[in-house]
Amino acid sequence: MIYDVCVIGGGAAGIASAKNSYEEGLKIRLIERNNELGGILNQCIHSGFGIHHYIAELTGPEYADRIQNELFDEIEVSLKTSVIKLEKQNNLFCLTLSSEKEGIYTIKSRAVIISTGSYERTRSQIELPGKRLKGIFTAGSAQRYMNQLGYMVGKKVVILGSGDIGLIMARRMTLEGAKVQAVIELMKHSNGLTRNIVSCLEDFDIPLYLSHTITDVIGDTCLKAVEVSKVDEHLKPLEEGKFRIECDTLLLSVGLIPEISLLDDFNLDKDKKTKSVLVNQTYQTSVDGLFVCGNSLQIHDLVDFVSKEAEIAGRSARNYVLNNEKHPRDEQDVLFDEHLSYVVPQQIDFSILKDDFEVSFRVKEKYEEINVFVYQEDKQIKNKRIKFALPSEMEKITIEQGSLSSKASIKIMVEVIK
Amino acid sequence: MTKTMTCVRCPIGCQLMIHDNEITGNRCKRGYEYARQELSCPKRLVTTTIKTTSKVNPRLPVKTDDMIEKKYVFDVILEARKLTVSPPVNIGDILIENLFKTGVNLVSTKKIDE
Repeated sequence: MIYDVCVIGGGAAGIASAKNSYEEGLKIRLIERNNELGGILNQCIHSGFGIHHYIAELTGPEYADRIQNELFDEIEVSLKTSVIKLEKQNNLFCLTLSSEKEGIYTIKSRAVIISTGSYERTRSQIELPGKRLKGIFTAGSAQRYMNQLGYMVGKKVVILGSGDIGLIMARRMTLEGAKVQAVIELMKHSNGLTRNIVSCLEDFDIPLYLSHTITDVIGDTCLKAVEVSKVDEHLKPLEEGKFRIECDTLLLSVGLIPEISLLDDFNLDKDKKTKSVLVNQTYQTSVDGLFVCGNSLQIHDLVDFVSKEAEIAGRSARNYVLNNEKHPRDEQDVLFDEHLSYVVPQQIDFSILKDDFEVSFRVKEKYEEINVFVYQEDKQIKNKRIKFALPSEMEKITIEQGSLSSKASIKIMVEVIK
Repeated sequence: MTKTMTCVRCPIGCQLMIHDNEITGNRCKRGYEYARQELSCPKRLVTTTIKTTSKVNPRLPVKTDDMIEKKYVFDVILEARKLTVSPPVNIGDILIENLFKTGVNLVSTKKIDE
């Protein structure tokens, strides 16, 4: 049997893209390695999900439940099943699946959506010095141990990195009786959402050290303390003013990286900043019929935006299958100036440009007010004023299809007002 | 004495200044309301987990079904810790009614069948 669309990963992105790829008569399969759908939402027990998508403030498990209830019965869901290999042969994708119940087997599909989420940067990826002591976790692992398995990971905690998961864990551990000594952030600005800084740190008087890093971990077999140093403007640790903070637990909240290892054999070009593959406005990669969305495409701050992106990827995959959209592409880059760190999509395919589309981006630095202009061949086609643009908050701009007068590339330029 | 706080009602995060009960620095009405609430009776939504007898889901995520006075936040956690539930549990099932006579309930945020 040949599927029309196989969706790999059953989190927020996978559920929304599977739902939106469905149309009567199409065979859709959603593949999830865990024993339930919902992905990372299941361990995010805090509230704040769905403010845009459902105009309601839900917890992670509640959001996961809502989106699952919207899935159509016709979509085949495989739980406890991993995709261990993805190949393309003669216009068909070949997926090698592994499950305890059915062993290892292969299925074929016309289109594939990658919605495999992201993984946490580890200690070795940030070159954290010192011994391999007990008590050092990534923040997301600690979150899973606490919220899903019920283990308290420590009593005296230091958090490195001010990413949202770290901030959420600072509050969670405090509520469960731990003493969170400090959050240490290398950059001079926080990496988390403002509301998390306020409601997770300030509410509990947890100090945030900006422009600081950890230069040593101290202990024999278990963590006893960390050495904290201020950094200069080049992010180099300074010798003077080092100090120690006693702790038995160090949580790392130092960023997420898209999980796209299934695509390794395709040897696709990658975006240096997003660390994922390049896509056009339909979230299709340079391989016909291969789509990527959610955190495996770019790291999102809000699940609401993941759902929205995945809906488009799902519809695009459906259109690809229905229209047998193998066509010569007419792709141009989305260019941007030095104020932005990246844009997604990186390309526009003019040959299938039928709808308005959104471009997501992040600013490199914090600005009080900016004016974002979109140009096509010296002609300004869009302008958006943004107040309080922060690197930690993804921004979006909609490009109306009718505003594009030619098939030339577009460029996004930023004017800093203050 | 001047007090400062950051409004969290939207992503802008206005820096609010409170001096002699006068609130400045807010860009909209919501900032004013936020500061008033924070000064008179701060409230929070509390989420935590409780123990279950299930092997598949050893913890059940729960929340207060409305914001509760900030002074009760840690007490909610302690009350939740005393409970053990057995499946099946549905989303919205009340696990503790009328916490500390505030009218706020502790409810399940996940459906567990086994």
